[in-house]
Amino acid sequence: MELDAKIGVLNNAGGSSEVSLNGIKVVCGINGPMEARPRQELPTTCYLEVIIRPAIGNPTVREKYMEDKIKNFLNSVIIGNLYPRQVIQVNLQILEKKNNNSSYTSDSDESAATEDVLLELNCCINSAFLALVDANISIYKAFNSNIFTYTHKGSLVKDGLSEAKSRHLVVYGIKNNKVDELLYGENVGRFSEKKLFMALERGEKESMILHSKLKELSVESVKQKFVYLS
Amino acid sequence: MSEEFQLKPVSFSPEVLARIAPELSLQRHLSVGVRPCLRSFQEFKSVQINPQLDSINRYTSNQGISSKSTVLGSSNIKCGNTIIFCTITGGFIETLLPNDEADENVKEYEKIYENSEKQENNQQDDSLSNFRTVYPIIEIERGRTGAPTDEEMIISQTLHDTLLNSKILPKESLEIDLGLKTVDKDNNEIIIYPNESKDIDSSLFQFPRKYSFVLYASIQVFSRSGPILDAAWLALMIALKSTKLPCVYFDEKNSNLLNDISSLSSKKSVKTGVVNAKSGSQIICDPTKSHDLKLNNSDLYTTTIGLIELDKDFSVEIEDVENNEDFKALSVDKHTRNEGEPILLCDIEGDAEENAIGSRVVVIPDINTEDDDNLVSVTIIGGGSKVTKQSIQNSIGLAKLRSKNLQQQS
Amino acid sequence: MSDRRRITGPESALPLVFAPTPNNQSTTKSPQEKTNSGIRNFFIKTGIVSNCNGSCFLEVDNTTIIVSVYGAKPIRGSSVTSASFSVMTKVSNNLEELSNFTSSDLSHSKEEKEEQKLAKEDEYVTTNQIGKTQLSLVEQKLSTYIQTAFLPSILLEKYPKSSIEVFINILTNDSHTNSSLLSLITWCANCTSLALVDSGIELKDMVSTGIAKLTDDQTVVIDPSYSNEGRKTVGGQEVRAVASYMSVTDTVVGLMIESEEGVNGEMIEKVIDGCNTMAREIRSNMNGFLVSTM
Repeated sequence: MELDAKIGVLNNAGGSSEVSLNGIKVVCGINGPMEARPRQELPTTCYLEVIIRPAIGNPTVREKYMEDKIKNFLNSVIIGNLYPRQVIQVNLQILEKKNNNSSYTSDSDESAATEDVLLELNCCINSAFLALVDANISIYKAFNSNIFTYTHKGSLVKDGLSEAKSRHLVVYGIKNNKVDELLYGENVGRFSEKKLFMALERGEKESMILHSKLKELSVESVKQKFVYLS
Repeated sequence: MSEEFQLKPVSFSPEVLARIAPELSLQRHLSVGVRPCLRSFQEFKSVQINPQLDSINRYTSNQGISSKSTVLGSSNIKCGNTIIFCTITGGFIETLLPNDEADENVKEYEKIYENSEKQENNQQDDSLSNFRTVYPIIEIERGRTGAPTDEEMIISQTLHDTLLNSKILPKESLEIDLGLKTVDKDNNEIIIYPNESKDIDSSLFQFPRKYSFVLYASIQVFSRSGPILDAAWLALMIALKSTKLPCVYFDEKNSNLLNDISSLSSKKSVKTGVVNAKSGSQIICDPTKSHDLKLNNSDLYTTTIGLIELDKDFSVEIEDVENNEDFKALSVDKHTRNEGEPILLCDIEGDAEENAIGSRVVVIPDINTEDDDNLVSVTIIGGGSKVTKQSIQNSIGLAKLRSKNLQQQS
Repeated sequence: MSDRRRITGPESALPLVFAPTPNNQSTTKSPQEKTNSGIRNFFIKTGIVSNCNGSCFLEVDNTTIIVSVYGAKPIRGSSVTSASFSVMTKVSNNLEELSNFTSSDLSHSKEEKEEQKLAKEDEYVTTNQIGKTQLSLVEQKLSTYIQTAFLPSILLEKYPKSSIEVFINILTNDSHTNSSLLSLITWCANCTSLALVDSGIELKDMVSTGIAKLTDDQTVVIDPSYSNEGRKTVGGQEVRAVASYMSVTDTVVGLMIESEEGVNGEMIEKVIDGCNTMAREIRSNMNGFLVSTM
């Protein structure tokens, strides 16, 4: 499904973006760099706080788990030593979920929640990138996330289909218009080593395509912000 | 008068250095081919699987069946110095609520439902909604009380999701075939189960509602010395393997007694003797009879591999060290690896390793399958040293080796 | 409000209810037909938990306890002249039946036969709610006793602006012999004593604890296990007591007495003597253990 994104949707945040992808819509707001509470303060680098709020209800353990996944690699992307003793807060609010309206039976509810983790992460990561750019936070490299599935017939599709043999979420870092390194990969289901690497390779290609699209968007937003450039 | 100004070097004990400069401490160790925990690079922690907790398990207690315990499965493992206790307990949940309209023809409804369910199953046997998981609560002892820490929450969720995604606990395993407690001709109380009494009219067991078990896992960790996902998963797996589910019956007599106002108000339920889900007390576990929990595959193990690149800036002159007597006694990894490839470290342990290793690969291989598709989950966390294709391949290889090893042990 | 920090599972889930085990099966073989004299064998190991300052593992029959001591560690903000000392007990949440026995010790007596049906109802075992945050009654009683008993033994003034925290984890408890709360207190206290020694915190003396029972016929049984404490004798004038000692100064630092009917001075004296005998024996055992580990 096509990515649909907007930058600078929130007026009061340092940077923000709204991304909808695979039936999920996320709004991301960045606060900071700002003063840290004594407990969070790190002497040489910034403290990164990722907060995810679900589409319905209050955040639970599931959101904590997703926050951790994002924080893991985001820490290495942001140039932390430019912001010592400060906090950068990444707020992600999931606005819409694919199966929002369909009435779940209690049974499938849970498996759907687990299944949607990858889709939500995918959307959140892309949204976080755009918002970081919008917030003028220094980063070492650009990044974006793609999700692939192997269907039961064995073909690799760029989609987050739920009925699949295996699902692969791939996040690549991009530096100087070249794929730099694998930042995060989550692969679940049943798959072989060969399929894993095929998915990763496909991820490299797709991430360049997605990158050019995201870049276009961010260039546009910079132009709008700094009128004198044009 | 000129005074010479000298900077005196400051020295720290290894433990202090590991805490204040984990990167430096780890790099120095690795440059001479040894890890801070003194294991060699690809040496796993020793794992010991003890039967010790059995005394609280309802079914394995050494004095026959323990009447007071509600523990259905348990495990106790020791991984390095880390001790983990895991206990499995259970609960009921109602899985089928027939439509009110269909109540008149409950049996017919059930038939339709079962047929449609079968069709559904054929279509997508593999769908995640046909599998179940457990609800884990993990507690890592660290001298604090209060709400669970982030780590505890994340591990619980990881265990929960991984178990579901690996599809080893099918829905059917937790479904309950209700028996019936009733009185025979001589007015003796008897309990009959559908699977063991074929001569009895099967319509006796047409209960309008279906129940299944839900399983809870409580995991206690002592002496945490590094990331504990692998060990916690192992403890959970072994506990699940030992889990027995009690046979469950419907107490006819109790249900009549306890037909309270809420169930009286709906005349149908009186007619069919329907269980009132709110009180639930008519659904009773047999004190002795039980059966094993069926798992699709009980030999899945997670293996976490840390990736770290050697940084020449931190290295120690190897000649300084090689003459040291203590050092000679250690097994040293000679670097036979390719330039630019990170070092793979198994079972991350200690402050230095935990804090300095950014990149990790977590693999769950399925070692029992002949199929090509023998991986269940691969999580790659980058950001530290570069995750190369080679290092992923090597990690998968190590994980398979480790899994086979654990399979033999358990 | 549901717990957002734990995975609690579906809200509509009901606890498992087990029917009581038929009598002929539940009382098949009691673990050890203990003679009326002597203390049960117990196993101890110190330093079992690596990321605390001191720890001890104790096993007696089917009861296993891990005690870990944290401290003395600095406390933020307050500047007090001596350390604060606190005890936290955690009974593994699958052992909730423990909480029943304090009350059932009393209730299971006379009417038992007459109201067998009702009693049956009570005996239904249900799983408890997972992830409880509050201390249960048993945990509170245990914590309070141990805190009170050990407070005089620790040189708190040596550790200003710090706290010493003791965590008691009861991993398994003998659900067969149904060892009583008092017995559990005894072994937890002895385990705590060794954990404190292991931690290197300065102590005036090691606390040793004993338990004894005074039966109907005025005989004293030390370390009674429930199997011979038996429900048969319930209803008679039975006195049970736990007492903790600092042997060097020969002072009692903790005492707990339990009885269905009244007690008089003479009985207390007898039962405390019993406790003392056991505490001494435990003390010499612990001394031997500590010497052997040096």
